[in-house]
Amino acid sequence: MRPGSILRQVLFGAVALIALTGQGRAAGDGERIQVTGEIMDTWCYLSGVMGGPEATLGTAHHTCAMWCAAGGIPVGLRTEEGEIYMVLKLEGAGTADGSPAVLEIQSNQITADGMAYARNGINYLIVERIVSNEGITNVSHEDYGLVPPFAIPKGEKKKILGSE
Amino acid sequence: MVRIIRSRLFGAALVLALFGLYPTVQAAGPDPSAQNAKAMPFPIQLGGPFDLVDHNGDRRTEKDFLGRHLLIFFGYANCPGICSAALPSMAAAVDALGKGADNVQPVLITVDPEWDTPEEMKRVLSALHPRLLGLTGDEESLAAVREAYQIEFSKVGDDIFGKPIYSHGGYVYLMGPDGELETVIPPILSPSQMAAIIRDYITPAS
Repeated sequence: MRPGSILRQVLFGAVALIALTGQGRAAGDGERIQVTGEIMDTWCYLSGVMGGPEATLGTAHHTCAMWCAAGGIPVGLRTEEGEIYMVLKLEGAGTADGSPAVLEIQSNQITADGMAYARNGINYLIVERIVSNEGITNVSHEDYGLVPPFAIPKGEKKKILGSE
Repeated sequence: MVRIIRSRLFGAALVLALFGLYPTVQAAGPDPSAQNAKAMPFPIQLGGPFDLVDHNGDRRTEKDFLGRHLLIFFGYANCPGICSAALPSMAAAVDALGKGADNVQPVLITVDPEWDTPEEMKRVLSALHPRLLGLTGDEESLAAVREAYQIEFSKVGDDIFGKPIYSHGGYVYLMGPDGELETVIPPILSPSQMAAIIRDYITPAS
């Protein structure tokens, strides 16, 4: 990937994560919200190291997103509008990062009820209840393949996707 | 599988380091009008007393750090995953604070006391930053501090040298001079972004 392209992706990520403090989100005690979006890998999405942000969502990036979450990288919830909430805690779990509970819902489209906080230009979400979970609905591998391509070994890839 | 995880995380960290591509939250500098909002404490209950041993072998409790800001990360000294990105970022963020860094103590609290002896933590952490302090302890003491910070971790396998690899929490916690949580910092931020956030809390509002 060319540096210019990487830079564009980083800037995209920057815009996506920019504070909601200037948009009326309560900065003080937090705000109860119900929000729908995809649980996602914040590192790969925001850094642009894996290409365009859309390629780091859904089925295309699910395996890598599992690795990242298991490795302690916090997950986010990305709304359809592109807003990102850093998930601090999940229903029934301790901190959301590195928790087995995260692996259960990585890449899933969920509606979460909880408390949102805006701090330091970043949105945080404590998920008190998962209202609904539609599973993985973003079939992004049809557009992007596997991201990164080595996410699944070749032999297994054919079994899972039906082609190499 | 574990090796793949390790390679993947190493690869990501390497690429980020090479290209300076940490996710960017705010391209502009701090907004003075938002100073108070940005520096507000997080209204959630995290943190509490601890009784641990530092990497010099000295007993350390939370009282030893009162009057200073603590920058706390949970992980382990030889962690090939998120620690390998977060700890250097914390170290660089402290350096980026300049004079203000004197009142900020970066700390790693281990989740692996078996491998993270004081000597091993000192060896690894001193190479990252001279002021990065490792804290370890017996299992009971470490469990208590993990509970206070709601940290979960689990062993996911062993590396090729037989050392355990853990899945564990990745946020950085900034504690105030009173020992209360000031804010949490995502480990995916660049050192300069971490420093900007810390600076909001250690710099008295004018």
